Amino acid sequence: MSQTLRQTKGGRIDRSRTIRFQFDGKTHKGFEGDTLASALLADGVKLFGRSFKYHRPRGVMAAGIEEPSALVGAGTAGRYEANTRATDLFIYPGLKAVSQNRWPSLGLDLLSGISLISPFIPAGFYYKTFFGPPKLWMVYEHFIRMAAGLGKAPKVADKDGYEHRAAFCDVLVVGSGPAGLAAALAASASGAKVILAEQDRELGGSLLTDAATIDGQASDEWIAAATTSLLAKGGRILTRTTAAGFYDHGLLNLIERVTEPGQAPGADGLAQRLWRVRAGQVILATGALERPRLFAGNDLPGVMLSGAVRTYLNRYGVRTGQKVVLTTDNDDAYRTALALAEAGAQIVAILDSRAASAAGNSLSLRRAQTRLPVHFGAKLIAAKGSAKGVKSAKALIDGQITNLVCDLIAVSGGFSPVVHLHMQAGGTLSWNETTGAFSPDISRQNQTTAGAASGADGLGQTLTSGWEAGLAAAKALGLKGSSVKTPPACAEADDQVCRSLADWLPAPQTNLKKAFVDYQNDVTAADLDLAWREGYRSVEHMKRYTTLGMATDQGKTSNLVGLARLALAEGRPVPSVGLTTFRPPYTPVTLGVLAGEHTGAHLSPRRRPVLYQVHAAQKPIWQPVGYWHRPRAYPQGREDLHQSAHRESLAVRTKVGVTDVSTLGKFDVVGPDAAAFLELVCATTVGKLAVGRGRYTLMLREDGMVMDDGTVWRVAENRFFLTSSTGGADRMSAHLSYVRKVLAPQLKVTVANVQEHWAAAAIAGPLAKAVVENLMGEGAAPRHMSLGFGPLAGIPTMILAASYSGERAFEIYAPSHQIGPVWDAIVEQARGLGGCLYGLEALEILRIEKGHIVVGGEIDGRATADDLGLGKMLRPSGGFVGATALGRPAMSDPQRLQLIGLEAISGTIPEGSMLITAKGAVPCGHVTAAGMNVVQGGSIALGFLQGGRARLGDVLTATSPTRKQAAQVKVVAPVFYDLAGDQYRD
Amino acid sequence: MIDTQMLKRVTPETGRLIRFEIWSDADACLDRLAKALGTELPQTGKSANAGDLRLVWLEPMTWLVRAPEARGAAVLARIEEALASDGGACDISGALVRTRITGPAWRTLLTIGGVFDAEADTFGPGCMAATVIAHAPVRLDVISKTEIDAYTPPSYAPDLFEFWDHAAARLNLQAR
Repeated sequence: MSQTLRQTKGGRIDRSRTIRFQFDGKTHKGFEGDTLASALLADGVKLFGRSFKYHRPRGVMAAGIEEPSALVGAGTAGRYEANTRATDLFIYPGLKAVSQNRWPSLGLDLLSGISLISPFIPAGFYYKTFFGPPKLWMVYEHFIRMAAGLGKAPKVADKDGYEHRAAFCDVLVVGSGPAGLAAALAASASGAKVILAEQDRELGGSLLTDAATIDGQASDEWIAAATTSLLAKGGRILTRTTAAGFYDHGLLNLIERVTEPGQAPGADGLAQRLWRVRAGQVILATGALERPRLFAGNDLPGVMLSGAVRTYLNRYGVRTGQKVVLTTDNDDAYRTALALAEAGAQIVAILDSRAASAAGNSLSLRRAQTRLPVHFGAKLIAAKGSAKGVKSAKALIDGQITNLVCDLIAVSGGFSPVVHLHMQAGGTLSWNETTGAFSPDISRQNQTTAGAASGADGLGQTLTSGWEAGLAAAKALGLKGSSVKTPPACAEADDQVCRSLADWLPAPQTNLKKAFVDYQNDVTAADLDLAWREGYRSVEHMKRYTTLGMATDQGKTSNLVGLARLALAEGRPVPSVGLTTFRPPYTPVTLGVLAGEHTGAHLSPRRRPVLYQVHAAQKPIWQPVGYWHRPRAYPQGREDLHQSAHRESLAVRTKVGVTDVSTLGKFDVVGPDAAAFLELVCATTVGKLAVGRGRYTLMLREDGMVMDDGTVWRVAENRFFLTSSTGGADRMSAHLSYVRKVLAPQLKVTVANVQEHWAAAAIAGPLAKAVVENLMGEGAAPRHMSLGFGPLAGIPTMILAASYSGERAFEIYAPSHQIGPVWDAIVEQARGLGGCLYGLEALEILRIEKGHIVVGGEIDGRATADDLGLGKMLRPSGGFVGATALGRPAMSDPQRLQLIGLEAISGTIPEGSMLITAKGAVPCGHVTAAGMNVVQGGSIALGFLQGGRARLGDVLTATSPTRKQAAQVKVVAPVFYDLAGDQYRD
Repeated sequence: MIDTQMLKRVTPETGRLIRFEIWSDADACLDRLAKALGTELPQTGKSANAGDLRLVWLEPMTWLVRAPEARGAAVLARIEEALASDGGACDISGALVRTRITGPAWRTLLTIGGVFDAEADTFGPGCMAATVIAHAPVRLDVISKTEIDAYTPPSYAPDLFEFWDHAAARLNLQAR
C-alpha cells in the first residue's frame, strides 16, 4: 500500500522520515509522528479489529486514548502488549502489530457468524446461562471463552525494565492543551515549582489539531515559548505521561511511556516509569471527549468521531474519506466539514439535530451554510456497509428518509469533560442540561479543573480558565503574584466554540439492536432497554448486567450515552439516575510498570542474616520468614528436607546442634524506669528479676490478645535485654515505641532496637554445656535462665541460657560485625562432639514436641494467654498492656479455642487441617503445626480445640479436604517431650 | 550523572554507632552534651560534625553518634557521663550499614523506588531524613552537595545496594 489517503502536504508528521512497520504480517509505511492508526488509515486500511462479543468489523473511531474499537497487540514475545489502542501508539521502525479476536484472519473471521445469533445472546445472556444445570455451564463456558474476548495475555516474561520514581512539586498540571499550558505558565510565573504531564508525545493538546494564534504568535511558537519558559523556571515537563490515578493527600500516579508498546528500550533498558507525585496543588486540564451518536451501524469502519476526522486531517495529513456525511448537535463538527471540504472531500450532508433557530452562529457554521449542504433538525438512521467500510447512510431529513452515498460518517454527539481524576480525588459534579455534560463542581482536595474539562467552551475561555487556575493555585500556596498580569489571548475566539445542544433521542426509525452504545463490550441501546425492562434500574446494576463501561476504555465514549438512555427509560433527568464510580487507572496500565523494579530476585527485599554467606556455603534449603531468608535445613548427600530435618533434630535430642538465631527481635531497655516500662509491656512479672537472670514472657495487644513472646533479661540494675520473635520484630519495635511515647512518656527509659546490632548462635542438646565450657572455660555456662559474659574466639560475648528446643541450650551473642569467628568456633566445637547445624525445620519439630508456641502458628492474633495454656503466668496485679481487656466475659468463655496436643491414631496429621468429631460435623478446631516425634516416631501436632483442655482423650478426625488427607487423632496435653523440664537443667 | 564506582558501602561499619536519648531536664542535659561532644546537638532533621564525630538527629530527643572505632568506648563513656540520670545510651554498632553515595545526581538516584523528596532544595548539607526506599528503611544524612550517607540495617543492605547499583547504571546510561 502507498499512503493513498495521505495529503501531499500539511500535518505535523515528518515526511522526510519514512518508517516501515507491520500490521498482521503485512508491511506498511508511515512517517515519523504517525500513530499506528493514522499510518494505516493513510494506507487505506479501514478494518482494524473485531468486536468483543459479536465479532463485528471495527475500524478507527477516535484519535486518542478514548478509542474503543481499534485495539491491537503490539510487539512480540517478551515485549508483547495486548489491547493497545492504535490511536495511542506512535509507530517506530520494526513495529509489529496484530489485530485481535479474529479467526483465522481479520478479513475472514469465521467467528463473525456469531452476529447471526445475536438476537439470542442479548444483554445478560451470560448470567442467564447460570440458571441451567451446573454441568451445562461447563459447556457454555468453553464456547463463550473461545468466542469472546480481546487480546491474549503474553506468555513470555517481560524482558524490559520498569522504574518507580518519586517527585514533588508545588503545582502539578495534568494536560498540556491551551488550558494546561496557560495554567502552568501562570503558576510558574508566580514562582511555583511546576510539573506538567502530557499523555501525548507533544505538548499542545487541541492546538495540535486546531492551530490558532495566541498572543500574536502561531500556536506552535506559543507552545515552544511556553516550554522554554517552564523549563527555565525549573519546571519538569513529562510527555507520553498519563495521570492514571488521583489518591488522597495530593498523590497522583503518572505513567510515563519511555518506549512505545512493543518497542525495544534504549541502553538503559527502561520501558516505562511510574511517577508518584505529591503536589501541593493540582490543576486538571484534561480536556473533553467527543461522544458518538445512536444510529444503526454506528460501529462500522468508516464511522468516526468528527474531531478525530479533523485530527487525522490536520495533524497527520490523512483525509479519511472522500464522500462525507456529518451528523452533529453542535458547531464543532462544522469545522471538520470545512477542513474536509478544503482538503478536497465532498461533503454529502451535514445533519444537525438542532433546529435552525437553536443552532449556533459560529463563523464555521456560517461559512458552512454558504457552501455546504446543511440540514437542521436532521438525524442519521443507519449506516450501511461492510468490513470494508461505510457505503451509504440513511438519514431523516425534513421528515423524509433519504439515502446518502458516502464513505465516511463523521459523528459528533457533544462533548464530555474528562472528570475522571477530579472524581477519583473525591470531587462532585454539576450537570449542564443544555450541553448534556457533567463538569466538576466541588473539589475535595487542593485541586481545580480548567479548560474544556471544566466545561469551558472555546479557546478564549479555555486559555483564561487555565490561566486563572494557575494563579489561584499559586495564591493558595502563598506564592507571590504572577509577573505577567494578563492571560494569553487568542484570535478567532468565536470560531472555536461548540454550543452543543444535547440530543439523546435517536431517529424513531433506528434499529436499536444495531445502535451501539459501548463499542468495546458490544452493548447496544436495545441491550440497555432490555435491562431496564428486566428491572435493572440502578445505574450500577445496569452497568454490571450489560457490561456497559466495563471494558478497558472504562466507557469513555459510552457512559454518558448509556446514562442518558437509562434516564429516558426512567423518565428522569440524567443526574438523578446516578453515576458509576470513576476508578484508577484512567487508561490501562501494564502490570510491568506497577511492579516496577520489584520483580524476580527483587520481588521483595531479601533480608540476609549476617551469616548468610556462611550458611550459603553449606547449600541449605532456604526458607523465607517475612523478608528474612533463613536456612530451613542443611541436607547431606541425597537427603530430602524431611530426612535432613529429622537427622538434625535427632542430633539436638541426643548430642548437640547449632542454629543461627541472629534474626530474633532484640531490644536494649535502659534507664531507672526500665523495669517499670517492661512491667507495662510484658504480661508476666519481670521487674523483680535479679541481675543476671532472665524469664520467658508474653506481650499482649491492648485488646488482650497475645502479640508476641520472648525473653527478658536483667543485664544490670537499670539495663534489660528483651528478645522477641523474628517475624514479629518490626511489629514489636513499633509497639515498644508506642508504649514508650504514648502510654508512658513520663518514664525515664530508652528503648533501642538492637536486632541487627547483635548476632547469635543457639547451641542446644545434652552436650551444649560441654561446647560452651570447652570454648570458654569451665563454669562459663550459666544455669538455665541466667546470663553470663565472656570472650569467645577473642570476641566479647553475652551468653543467655534459654531453650526453645526443650534441651539444655545457650544463645551466644556477639556484635553482628564480629560474629564470624564466634560462629566458626562454636560449629567446629559442636561438630567435634558429633553435633551438627540445624535449621528452621528441625527447630519446628523440636518446639512442637516441647509444646512451645510460635508467632503465626499458635500466636495468631486471636489467642489469649489462657487460650495458650499460659494464663497462670500473667501478673495477677495486672497493670500491663492488655490487662483491662482480659476482663471481658468472652475472654473466659470455656468454649474458647484452647491449645491442645494431638497424637495420630492412624495416618499422618495434615498441616493446617481442621478438627471434626464426625464426617459432616462443623469443625471444632484446627491444627496449627504438625510434625513427627523425633525419638519415638509417630505423628504429633499442636492445635486449637473448642474447650480443648476439658477434652483430653477425645478422638477426632483431622481432615484437610483440599489435600484429601485425614487422620484419626487423640487429644492430649500440648507437651510431648520432657514434661518436667529436666532436660533444661544440669 | 552518578558514577557507580562511587557507591561505597561501608561493610562492616568501621565506626562505632551510639544511640542516646534524653528523657529529663533537657536544657541542662543538652548543655552538658554540647560540652562533652564539642558542639551543640543538631536540631530536628539535622546533622552535624563534631571533630571526628558525626552527630545525627534520629527522633525527638534522640540522636545517633558515629565515632571512630578506636574512640568508641571513650565517646560512649563521655556521653553516658553527660547524660547522667537524664538519659540513656546504647551501643548499636553494626545495626546499621552506611553507604556513601557520591555524585551530583544522588538526589535523582534517591527518588527511584523512594517516596521522599530528595530533590528539595531545602534538603541540603547537614540535613537528615528517615524514609523507605525499595521497601528498606533508610536514614539519609546529607554530607555535601555531592555526597550523602545512607544508613540501613545490614540485612537490607545487599539488596538495596544492588538496587541502587542498577538504578545508578541506568542514570549513567541516560546521561550519555
